[in-house]
Amino acid sequence: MSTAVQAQTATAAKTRVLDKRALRNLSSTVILTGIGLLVLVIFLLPLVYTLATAFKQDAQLTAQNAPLYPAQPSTFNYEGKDYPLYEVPIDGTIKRLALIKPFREDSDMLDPEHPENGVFNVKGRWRTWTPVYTFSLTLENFTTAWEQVNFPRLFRNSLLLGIISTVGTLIACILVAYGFARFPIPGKNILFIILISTIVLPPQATIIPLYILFSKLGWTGTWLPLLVPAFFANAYDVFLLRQYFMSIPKELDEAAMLDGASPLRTLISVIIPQSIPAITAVTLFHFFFVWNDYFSPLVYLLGKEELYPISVGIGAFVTTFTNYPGRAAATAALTLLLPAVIFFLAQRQFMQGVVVTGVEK
Amino acid sequence: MKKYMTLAIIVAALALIVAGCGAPAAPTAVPAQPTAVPAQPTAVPAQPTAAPAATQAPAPTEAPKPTEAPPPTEAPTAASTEPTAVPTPTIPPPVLTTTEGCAPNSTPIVWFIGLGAGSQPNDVVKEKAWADKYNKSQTEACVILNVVYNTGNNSYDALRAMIAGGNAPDIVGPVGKAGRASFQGSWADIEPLAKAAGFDLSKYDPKLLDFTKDEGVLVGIPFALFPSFIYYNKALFDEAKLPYPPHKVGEKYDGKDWNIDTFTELAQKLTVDGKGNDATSPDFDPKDIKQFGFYEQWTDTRGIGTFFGGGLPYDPKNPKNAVIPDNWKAAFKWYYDGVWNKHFMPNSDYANSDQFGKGNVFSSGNLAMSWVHTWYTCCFDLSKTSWDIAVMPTVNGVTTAKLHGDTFAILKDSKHKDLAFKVLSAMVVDKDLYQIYGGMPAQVADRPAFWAALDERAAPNKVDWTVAEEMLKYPDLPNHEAWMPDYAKSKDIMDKWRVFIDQTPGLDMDQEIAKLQAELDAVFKAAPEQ
Amino acid sequence: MATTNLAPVPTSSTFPVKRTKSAYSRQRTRWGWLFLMPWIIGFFAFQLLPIAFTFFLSFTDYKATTEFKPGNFNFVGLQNFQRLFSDPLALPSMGVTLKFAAIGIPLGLIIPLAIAVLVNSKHLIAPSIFRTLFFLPTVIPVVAGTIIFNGVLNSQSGWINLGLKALGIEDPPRWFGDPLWAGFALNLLAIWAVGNAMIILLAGLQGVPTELYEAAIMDGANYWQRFISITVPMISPVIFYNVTLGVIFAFQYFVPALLIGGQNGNPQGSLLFFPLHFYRQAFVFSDMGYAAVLALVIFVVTMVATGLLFFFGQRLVYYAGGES
Repeated sequence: MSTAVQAQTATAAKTRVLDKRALRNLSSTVILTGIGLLVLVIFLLPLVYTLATAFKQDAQLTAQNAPLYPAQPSTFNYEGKDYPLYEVPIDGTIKRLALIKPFREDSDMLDPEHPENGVFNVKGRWRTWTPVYTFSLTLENFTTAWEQVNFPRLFRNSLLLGIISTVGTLIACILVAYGFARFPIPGKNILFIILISTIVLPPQATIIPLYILFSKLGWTGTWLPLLVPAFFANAYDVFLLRQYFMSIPKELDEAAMLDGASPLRTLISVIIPQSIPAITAVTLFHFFFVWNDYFSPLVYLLGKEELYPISVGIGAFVTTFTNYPGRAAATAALTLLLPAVIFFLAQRQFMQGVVVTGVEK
Repeated sequence: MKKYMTLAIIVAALALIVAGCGAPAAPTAVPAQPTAVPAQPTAVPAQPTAAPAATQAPAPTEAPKPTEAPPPTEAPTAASTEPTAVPTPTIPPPVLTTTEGCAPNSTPIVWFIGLGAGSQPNDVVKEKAWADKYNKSQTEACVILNVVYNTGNNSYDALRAMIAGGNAPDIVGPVGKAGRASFQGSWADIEPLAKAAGFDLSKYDPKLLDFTKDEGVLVGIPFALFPSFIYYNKALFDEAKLPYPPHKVGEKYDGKDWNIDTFTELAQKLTVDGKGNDATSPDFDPKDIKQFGFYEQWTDTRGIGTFFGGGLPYDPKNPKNAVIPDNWKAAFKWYYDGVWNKHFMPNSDYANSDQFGKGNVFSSGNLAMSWVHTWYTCCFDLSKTSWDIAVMPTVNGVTTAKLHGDTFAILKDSKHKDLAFKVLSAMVVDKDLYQIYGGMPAQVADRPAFWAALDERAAPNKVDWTVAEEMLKYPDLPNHEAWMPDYAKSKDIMDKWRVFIDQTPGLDMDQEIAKLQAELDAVFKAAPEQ
Repeated sequence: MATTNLAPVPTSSTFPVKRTKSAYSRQRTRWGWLFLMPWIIGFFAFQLLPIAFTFFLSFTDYKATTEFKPGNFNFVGLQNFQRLFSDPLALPSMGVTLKFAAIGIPLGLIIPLAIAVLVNSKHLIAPSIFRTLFFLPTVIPVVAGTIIFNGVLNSQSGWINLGLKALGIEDPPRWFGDPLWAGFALNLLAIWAVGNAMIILLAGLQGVPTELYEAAIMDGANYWQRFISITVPMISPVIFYNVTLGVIFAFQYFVPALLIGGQNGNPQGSLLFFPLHFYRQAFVFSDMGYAAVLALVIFVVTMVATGLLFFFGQRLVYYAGGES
C-alpha cells in the first residue's frame, strides 16, 4: 500500500488531473491485489493441505465425516472413557449425545446432560449423524518431527553446502558468462552449444560415471563431489547470466574501458552492478537447487549421517506418509521455514530494479 | 556500491543463520572415508548355526506409489529344521553411532539396507543397536550401516552406482526375490563361503534352501517365516453385529462353511456407504464408500491369484510357454468382481485416498479384513486398533496362505566375503533381527518369546497367534514368488497388471487375462537361456 | 516466445578504436579465453566424462551388477542401436514426453511470466509476501511435492475434487487413475514449482530501463502496447533462456512420474515418459548398454531441439548489448 500511496503523491505533484489518476491507481491496486490473492489461493492449496495435515491428529484424516480443517472431536467422559459427541435428530429436535457403542441400525447413546440416566439405545444410523468437532491445532506432529530429525545439524549442513557451492558458482559463472557475452572468441557459438550439451543428459545417466570418477578420486564420503564441481561453472547459470549480460548496453563497458579499465575491472564496476537482479536470481536458483538436491548427496554421503544435508536427512520421514501422515507433513513444513525466510530477505533485491545510469542518450 | 552492499548483506545473513544453527560449523572438506583396515582376525565370533525355515520377508515400506505394493519376496516352505542354539556374545549397551564400539583393527563390513524392509526410521534405530551390539561382541568385523529409504527407487540406483564404482557394500538385506532380480549376477554364491567357514548348510531343509536360490545359486541363508492370514478389525464386526471369523481351519462361521462364498458375503456386509447401507443393499452408493470389507494389501498379480491356490504362470515342463493357471483365472475374476461390481474391495482411488490410509488401508480403521503377512505388524498401530487374526477361507475345499521370506545376501564384489559371511551367519539367527522384521522364528522354541514381544506392542489387544502358526501349515505351493523366466521383466508385468485392474473399470476379464498371458509369453520366450 | 517486435532502444554503436584493430581484438580474445577457463577446465574434469561414458556404454553389454572394469562387459558393436528400431515402447514413450512438452513448455513460460508481471507491479500490495509465497512450492523437495500432489489430486479425498464436487461437477477427473488425465496432472505439478522461472523473469523485468517506459507513456502508449513493444523485447533474452531450459527440462522429466505411476508408468503407460523408459532399462532391467542408447536419443533429440531454438529463436531475441 505504501507504493500506492507514493504513486499517488508523486502523481499529485506532477499533474493537474490528480484526482482521476489517483482513483485509477487505487482501483488497479485493488483489482490487481484481488487477482493476486485469488491466484495465490489456488496456488497454495496443496501447501494448505499439507499444513492442515500437519496440524491434524492422524486419526482425523481417516475419521468419517471429519472436517477438512484441523479439529478435535468433542467428547464426553463417561466411566473413565472418552466418547464422541454427535448431533442426533430425535423427535424432530437435534440432541447432542455421546456415542457409546455404534451399531449399523441403532446405537447405544448417553445424554451428557443427564449421565445419571445411563446408556440408552437410539434407532437410526450413526453414519448419518453429524459428529461434533471443534477447531484445534495439534502441535504434536511438529514436536515429534523435531525430536526425531536433527534439524539443527541438517540445516547447518545444507546451509554450508549451499553457501559454499553458491559462492563458487557465482564466481565461476559470472566470469564464464562474461567471457561468452562480451569477447570475440573463435568458435564461440560452438563452445556455447557444447556448454549447453553438458546438461542435456538426464542426471540418472550421469550417476554411474560420476560415481566411478569420485570414488576413484577417493572423494566419496565427503562433500567434495558436491562442492568442487560448483567452482567450475555450470550451463544453467552461465546461460542465464550470459543472456542478461548481453542485454546490458555495450556503451556502458565501452565508456569504462575508455577510462582505461581492464576487462576484469569493467566486469566488477559496470557489469555486476547492472546485473544485481540476475545475480540474485542465480544465487537463489543455485542455492535452492543445492538445498533440494537429493540424489547426489545421498549417493556420495551414504553411511555418513553427520554430513547429510536436509534433503537426505528428512527423506525417510517425508515418505512415511502412509503410516504417519501428520508427522511427514510436519517434517516437510519445517523444512520449508528456513528457505522461506531466506527468500523473503533476498527478494528485496527485486524491489528497485535497475536504473540505467551513465548512458548518453 | 549500494547493490554490492545488499548482496553482501544476504551472504552475511546466510552465514549468520548458519552460525546460529548451532554447533561449530563443520569443516568444509570432510575427512575422507574410512580406509579399510586390514582384518585382524582375533577372537572368533560365535558360530551360529541354525535356523531353518522360511525365507523371506518383505517389507512393506510405505511406498508412495499407488496401490501396489511392496515387496515381499519369496517364500518358503514349511517347516523347519532344528536349529542349534546360538551363543550370543555378551552385549554392552548399544551406542548410537555405528563406528564407535568397533575394535581398533577391525575390518569394516558395510551392510546396505533399502531394497526391502528395514529402512523406516524406527527400524533403523534398532538396526543400529544391533550393529553396535555385534561390533562390541567381537573384534574382527565392524558393521557399518548404509541405509537408503527407497523413494522412487533411489536405493536401487545408489546400490548400482556403488557396485559399478568398485565400492560395493558387503551385505545387502533384507532383500527378497524381486530386489535380487534387479541385480542378477551381483550376488555371491553362499555355498563355498559356508564351506570355508565350516557352516553346516545341510541342517536346513533342502526345500527351504531352494527358496533362497536364484537361478540355481544359493544367495542367502534362510532367515525367518512370514505366513499370511486375515487381519480383522473387531470394532467393525461389533458394529455390524457379526461374529468374528474363525481362528481354526475347519471351524464354521455363523453356521456356514468358512469358504469363499461365506467370505464374500461377509465382506459385502462389512462394506458400508455414507448413508449406512451395506454393499448387499440395493441402495448402496459405490461412489461414497466409507468402509470396505476386504483388501489384499500390498501384493502383486501373483499374490491375488494365490488367494485361490498356488500356481505358476507358465507350463512347468516348458517355462517358455506362459500359461495362467485356472485357479488364478478364477481368482482374478473374483477379485475384479469384488472391486468393481460387488464393491467390497477398494479400487486404487479409494485405496490411495486419505480416508483409507493412502494405500495402507487396514491402518485407517476403515477396513474390516486385510490379507497380509506377519510383517504387517510393522505398519499399523497395534495397540490402538482393536484387532485379531483369522484363518484363510477355503476355496474349493483348500486353504492357502501365501508365505514370504527375505534373506540377507552378500555381493560378489565384496572385498571381504568370508568375513561378511561370518556376520551374515550371525544375523540370520539373531532374535533381535527377527523382531525388527516381524519374521516368525523358524525354530519353534524361539516363537513364544517372539509372540510375547508382539503381544507387548499389541496390548491391550490379545492376539491369537496360533492362527499364524496354523497358517504356516498351508503355504502356497508353488510359491507365488517362485522363479519365472527373466524375473525382473516378468515381475514388472505382474506389478503392472494388478494396478491396471485396480485402476480400470469396465474390463472384460477373459480378454485381459489373455492379454496378460500373451505379454508374459513374449517375455518368457525372449528370456536368455539359463 | 519472443516477439519480433524489436524495441525502440538505442542500439550499440561501434566503439572507436584507437589501437590497431587486430592487436586490440587479439588481446580481447585472450581475455575471453581467460574468462572461459573455469568452465573449460571443469568441462574436461567433470562434464565430458558422463557424455563419453554413455557413448562408450552404448557399444557394450555392461549390466552394472558388477564393478565397471574390463572383463565385466563385452563389446557388442551396433547391436544396442539396432534394438532401438524394434523397441515397441520407444515411440509411445516418446509420445508421452512430447505431449508433456507440448503442454508444459508454453504453460511454463506464460504462467511464470504472468506471475512475474503481477508480483513486479507497483499496484500490488505487499509484493514481497506474494513473491515469497509464489516461490515457496519451488523449495519443496520433489519427493515431498509429489506426495502432496498425489494427496491433493486423489479422486476420492483430494481437495481439488472435493472442490469440483462442491461446484456441482458430478464426475471430476480421476487424475492419476485415468490415463487421459494423468499426464496433465503432472503438468500441473510442474507448473506449481514455478518459482525459478518466476525469479528469472522478474530479474529480466527489473532490468528494463525505466526511461523506456517513461518515454512510451509520453507517446501515449497504453499498458498493453508498452508490454508488447518494450517489455517483451527487452526481456526476450530471459524468455529465450526460459524456453530453452523448458525444453531441456521437458525431455528429462520423469522422477515425479516414477513416484506416482511406479516403474510401469501407470495408469496404462500414460506416465511412461521416454526418460523413464531409459531409466527402467538401466536400473530395473540392468541393461546399461541399451539404456545408454536411449540416453543418447534423449541427448540428440534435446540437442536438435535446442539447436533449432538457437538457430531460429535467437533472431527473435533482442540483445541491447549486441551480439558481440
